[in-house]
Amino acid sequence: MTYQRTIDRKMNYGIAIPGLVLLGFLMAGSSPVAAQQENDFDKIFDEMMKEFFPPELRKEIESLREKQSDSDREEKEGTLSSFYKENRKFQELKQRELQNRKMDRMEKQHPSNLEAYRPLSEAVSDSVVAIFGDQSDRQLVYATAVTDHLLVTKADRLEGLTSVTCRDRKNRSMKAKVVKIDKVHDLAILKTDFKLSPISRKAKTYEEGSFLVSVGNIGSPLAMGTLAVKPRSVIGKDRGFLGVEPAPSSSGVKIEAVTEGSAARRAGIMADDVVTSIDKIKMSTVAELVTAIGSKKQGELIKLDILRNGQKIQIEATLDGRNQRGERAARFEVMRRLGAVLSRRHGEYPSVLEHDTPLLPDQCGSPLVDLDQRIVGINIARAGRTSSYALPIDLVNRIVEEFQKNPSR
Amino acid sequence: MRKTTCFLGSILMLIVFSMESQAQQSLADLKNQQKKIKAAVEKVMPATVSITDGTGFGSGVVVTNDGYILTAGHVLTTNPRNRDLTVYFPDGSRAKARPLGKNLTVDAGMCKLIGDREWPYVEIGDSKGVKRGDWCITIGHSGGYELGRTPPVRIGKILRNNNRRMITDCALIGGDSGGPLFDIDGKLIGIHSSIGRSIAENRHAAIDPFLEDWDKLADGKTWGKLGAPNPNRAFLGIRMSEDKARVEEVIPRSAAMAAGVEVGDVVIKIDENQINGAADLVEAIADKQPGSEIRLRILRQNKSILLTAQLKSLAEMESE
Repeated sequence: MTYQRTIDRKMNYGIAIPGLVLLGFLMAGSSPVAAQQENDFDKIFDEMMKEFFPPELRKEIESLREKQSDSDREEKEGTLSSFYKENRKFQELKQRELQNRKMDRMEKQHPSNLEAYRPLSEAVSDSVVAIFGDQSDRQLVYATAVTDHLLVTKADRLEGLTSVTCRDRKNRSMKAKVVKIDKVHDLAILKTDFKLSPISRKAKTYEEGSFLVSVGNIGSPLAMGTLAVKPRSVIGKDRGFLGVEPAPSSSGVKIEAVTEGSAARRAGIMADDVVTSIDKIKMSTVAELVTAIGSKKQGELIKLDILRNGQKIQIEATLDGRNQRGERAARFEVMRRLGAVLSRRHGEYPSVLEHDTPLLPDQCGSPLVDLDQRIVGINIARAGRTSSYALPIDLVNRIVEEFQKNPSR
Repeated sequence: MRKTTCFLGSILMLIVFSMESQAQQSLADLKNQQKKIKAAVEKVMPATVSITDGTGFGSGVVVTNDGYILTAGHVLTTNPRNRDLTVYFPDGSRAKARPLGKNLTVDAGMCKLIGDREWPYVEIGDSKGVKRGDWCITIGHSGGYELGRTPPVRIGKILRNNNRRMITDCALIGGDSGGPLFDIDGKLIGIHSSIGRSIAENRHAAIDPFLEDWDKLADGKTWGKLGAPNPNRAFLGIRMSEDKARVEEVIPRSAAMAAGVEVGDVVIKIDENQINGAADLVEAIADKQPGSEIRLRILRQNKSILLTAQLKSLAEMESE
């Protein structure tokens, strides 16, 4: 048995939530990452150790499991979130590691398999430029031409710059000014005097399973993916989470079960309690309860009126975030970054379509093209191991048209 | 001289590519595949469920009209008192399900919806026939059930299949566990199990073992051990580091020792698979059965030699 473990040194994460810490760590072992330069090796190694086989995290998870006290739990969570802060140096190292990964010939992203999408990228890449900052030749992001002189890109990647250098497919350099930042949608509009070749911006319908290719300012496709979820809001993923299973009841909303380790459990809410009001607002349906809690942010305090065995009692609960608690949050955050570098801003979007393209953060701003060469959206964030987000093209159209009508706003 | 090298290089490339015949695809081919995949997704989505025991979330898929659900074994392990599970359908409707059996060694689990009605269900396929390079479809309630979101669809290619476990580049994450893997026609071929570091390392329990053990699972039996190496798996018996194919240890009584592999040998190829480190070794052996022969191309003191090894199972090694 020991032979098998030392030889098959493979990572294995169970993927239920909370799933299996045990399965995850049972088969984990150390695994150096190939690197070109000796100097960088130690850095990458250290970072990867933290990221993938985090002994600190393992200790913390174990201690979280042992320690039941809430204050302890909160303290540990603080450490965890700083542990995963998106830091640029780390991103660069990890990005390089991902780009150097040896691919299986059969992988959907293998260059030889991406060749089939080339006619699409060849046709669209004239509309795409790479954006560079002032001093460096490091690419920040892509931008897509939407009119003869306007480009759109991901605002957060511009890091506050007001003018940038763009390079098109023919390697021509041009200056562009940042003329609009739409913070809500994370979209920046750039203006250049240079004559651009804009994409065609017809709105379209979205279907799960559509093949999509992301296109840069080069002839080769960046990567392919599929439409995972139709456009939806991803705002409020940090909204309040109580941790109960509600069910209809004649006198209010009955609690069928209380989630282990949840805000509800800590506050002392019990199965078979009936919630009659939250913050003095009467609760008579499950939907009302879900809305009342969902409208609060994590960390907020709510007051519940409860009927327990016919007795009226009052309970105060501090809401958790969904997937944002101790052990579960830690494990999910690790998985979310396995094999991926996330965009710094990757959430709180009013409308995004989700796809499974493994974008790199500097590949955002690129157009997302379907097999009929229609632009379905503009890539706006890498959100996780399995997901990237794009702003739907009809939303981008609206923002651009609004800007054209009122450039000063 | 330089020309010759390039020429040889290109011949080698040709050989490497011809080993794995995958015809260059055209946009028209992709459109055909997309059409099938879209149709499959529409058909199977309603039966792809999120499962919770109150402590966490997994996924599952309904496979009969009377409500049998297949899921991952480990999804059912956080529920020691065997309480009924809450099942969420993509349309937001909910139902209760009774946890049944699990085979933890292959990470297979079963539960059954409570309620006398017809449930949406998917067709079960045959995992034996699934080939490397085939398209596959992943659906699962990633991150747990999310009101107003359908379970994210992902597509990818089968990279390995030994009819117990499949590895694909359909990326998975927490909450997907127990969710369905389909072939291009929407037939169920696997159940999501675990992930590795790379986004191309996503493991699924093959569907055939579920069918072989159907009665035991339906009876509520639990057996096997999570994460345990399968004692019947084929095994070569060398240790090498993750990034170098140099043999660091040859295990006594192993196939490698019998074949004459020595510490310090550099393994270049196993059959037609290039070996660059431990991960490649594991992958190259993954599909093999004990008793089967493999050819090892080895560099020893700058000489290339070819050895033949007959693989053994761990159980065989330990009994010798």
